[in-house]
Amino acid sequence: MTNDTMTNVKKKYILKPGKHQFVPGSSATHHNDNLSDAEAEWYIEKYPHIKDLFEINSADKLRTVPTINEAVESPEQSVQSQNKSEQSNPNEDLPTTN
Amino acid sequence: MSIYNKINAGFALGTDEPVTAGIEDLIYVFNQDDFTLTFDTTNPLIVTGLTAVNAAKVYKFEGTNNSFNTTSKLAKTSVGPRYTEEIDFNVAGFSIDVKTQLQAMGYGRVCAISVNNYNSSDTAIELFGAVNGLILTDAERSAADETMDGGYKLKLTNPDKLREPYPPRAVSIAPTSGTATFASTIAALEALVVTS
Repeated sequence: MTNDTMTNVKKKYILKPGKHQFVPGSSATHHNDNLSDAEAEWYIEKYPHIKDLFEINSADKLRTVPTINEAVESPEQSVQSQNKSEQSNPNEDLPTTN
Repeated sequence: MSIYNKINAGFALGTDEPVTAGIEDLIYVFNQDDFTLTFDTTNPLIVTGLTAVNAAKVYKFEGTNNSFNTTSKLAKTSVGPRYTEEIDFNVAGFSIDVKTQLQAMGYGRVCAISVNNYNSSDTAIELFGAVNGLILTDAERSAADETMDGGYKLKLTNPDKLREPYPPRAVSIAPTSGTATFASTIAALEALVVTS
């Protein structure tokens, strides 16, 4: 599985959280766990507008990137988890708003 | 694979922030091929980012008197639920530039973002036409019509034979640091709006 191969790989191009479209109207399939540095470079060259979707580390600051599963346990991601739980409360209103 | 056909929550009626009707009299409209979307990792109903292609901009159409409206309606098909979308709005103006924009919306596909009056919800700001875009299907101006007073009455809908596979998406864009809120989402949208 792609996630396994990407575990603890030091990456230069860190794709910001979420599933991204790289081309307008395409399927949002790109996320940090399924994109290697080589692929990221290729996409950025072909589609320069996506550069802002990346956090680009210089060569001496390559970071170890946790996978989605590992990220749940990290403090940074736990904030997002908390946010989602906060967002889930208003979801109760969905049946009436739709 | 996610369990897509099992509900996992109910709804309790309460007096805390009751739902209210209507949308604000403005819609943000952009050309579908001018922006890429970022979705929440686990929930495709949440759009967490808009990225402009070639410095493209969002255009804001403003109205008044609660005259804008959005409609989303489920259409049952042999392959599952699909959703038809409609946005009713108007332009209280009459010029070549207005006509030019209306003509363009009749040919090209656009996406539209509305802001519900009920903004206590996490889906207060909604994106229409995320997959197939919208086109202008009604653009009516009756010069002597007192209701519109000579302005254009407009409707954006799904293109012929196309519907959306999801209900309107919630737009929820976080600030540079912190949690996405109504205010941070509006600020992000306004930053993309063209300024004359």
